[in-house]
Amino acid sequence: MKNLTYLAAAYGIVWAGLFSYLWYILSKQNVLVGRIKALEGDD
Amino acid sequence: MGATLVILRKDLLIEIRRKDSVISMIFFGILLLFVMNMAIGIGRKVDPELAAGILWISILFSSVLGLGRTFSLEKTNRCIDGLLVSPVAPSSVFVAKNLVNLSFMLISEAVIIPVFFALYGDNITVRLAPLLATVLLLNFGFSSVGTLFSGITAATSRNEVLLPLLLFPVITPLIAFTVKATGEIFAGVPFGEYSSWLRLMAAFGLIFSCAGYLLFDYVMKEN
Amino acid sequence: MKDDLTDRILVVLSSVLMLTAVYMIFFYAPTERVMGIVQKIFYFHLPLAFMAFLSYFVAFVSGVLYLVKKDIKWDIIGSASVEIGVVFTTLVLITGSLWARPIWNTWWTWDPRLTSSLILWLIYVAYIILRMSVEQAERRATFCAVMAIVGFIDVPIVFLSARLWRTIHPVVIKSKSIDMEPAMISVLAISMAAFLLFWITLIRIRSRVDFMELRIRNLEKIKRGGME
Repeated sequence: MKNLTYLAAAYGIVWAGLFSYLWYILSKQNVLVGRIKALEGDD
Repeated sequence: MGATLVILRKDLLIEIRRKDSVISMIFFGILLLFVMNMAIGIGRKVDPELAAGILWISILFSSVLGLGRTFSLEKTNRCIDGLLVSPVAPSSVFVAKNLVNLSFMLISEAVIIPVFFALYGDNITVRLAPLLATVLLLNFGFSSVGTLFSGITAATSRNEVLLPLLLFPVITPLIAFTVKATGEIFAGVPFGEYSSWLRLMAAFGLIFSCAGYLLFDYVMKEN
Repeated sequence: MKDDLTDRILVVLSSVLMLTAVYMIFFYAPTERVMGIVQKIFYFHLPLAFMAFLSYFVAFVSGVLYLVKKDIKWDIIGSASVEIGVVFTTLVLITGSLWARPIWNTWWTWDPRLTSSLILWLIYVAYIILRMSVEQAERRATFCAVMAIVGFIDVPIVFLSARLWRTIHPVVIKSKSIDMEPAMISVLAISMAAFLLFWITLIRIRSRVDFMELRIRNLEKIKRGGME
């Protein structure tokens, strides 16, 4: 049972880590998309 | 080759006149020896391998001080521009700075190591020839990587902070080999048993001096 | 937004594969006899480590290509893969630690593989710090390329030193060799594929972010030029 906790923790951390990183770069990308649109729209 | 010697001579002359690099290296090294004596408990006898660790921590950290200065010297008054405009090949600048760092390290070690023996020498076998070989091989590897990186960090705004951060992770294998070899020298083990560590140290130095020699071109052009 | 669509397909595909892998890990792969259920960390741990290593290799190759071609593209790809490599190595260290705790009864041992991963992590975190400290783009690209090359040259030496250090200085705790049953291997293969797809997705998005930043800087420069 105790082992299951370690296993769950490991899987949880891996997914949390990977998806929060994915989320981080995606949100960065969205901000930049907005900025590019604003810059190009002005012309 | 000639240009290398000119730069080497110039840097050594500056150091002989000002003495600030080597003196701060020596002082810091001895300071670290004292600090570590307190950390492990004053006057406690240390076994050979721990003693080797203490010696090398002092030498490595004090040597970083000297490394950081190699290029900041050129940066003041923008001497580096002159060096770049001159027909000197960047790779001979690398060799020259490498030799400068090597000699600074040797001078400071010539003081730090005797002080180390005075403070921690009780349980330690002194064998000069193998110890000298270890010191030279470590200096070779350390200053090859260090010269390349100090060329990089000199062009950044955070020279002194950045240099150890880049340098130490890369030289961890060298530190491991050195401490291992020195520990066995201090324990009085016959040469055949630790010569393989020395060979590895030499290999490390050769690999990174070649890498530094090749990569330094690119680094210099960005300075 | 063609890129966007490809990204979505990649994310969905790798998620499906990952879920399949998880299903197989728990319902298909046999439970290891000695280590029990904790051994199942392995199916994530190994692909993560492999992808981290792949990232560093990509960074090395793009470092060399940058120095030869002076094309900022290679700098962007290299830095993206180092960043992802560091994320993956961090997860490798954490999962390894969570594996070590129940099996070896310690969070950390100086086992060669653990030591090497930690040193690699340190080298590439230093790379990221270097990247943050240089402002000018070409200078940063050159320095980072040099660091990526030096770091990767160091990789085999790090592995060698960690291994030699230990064989001469044996520790009580030994890492168990894992006898892989065929079922385990097929699960591992699927997990590996899932992580590879995910890795490709991350690299694509991460490098696109940098390309977009470059484009913004250029657009701003043009605008400022137009105003003056």
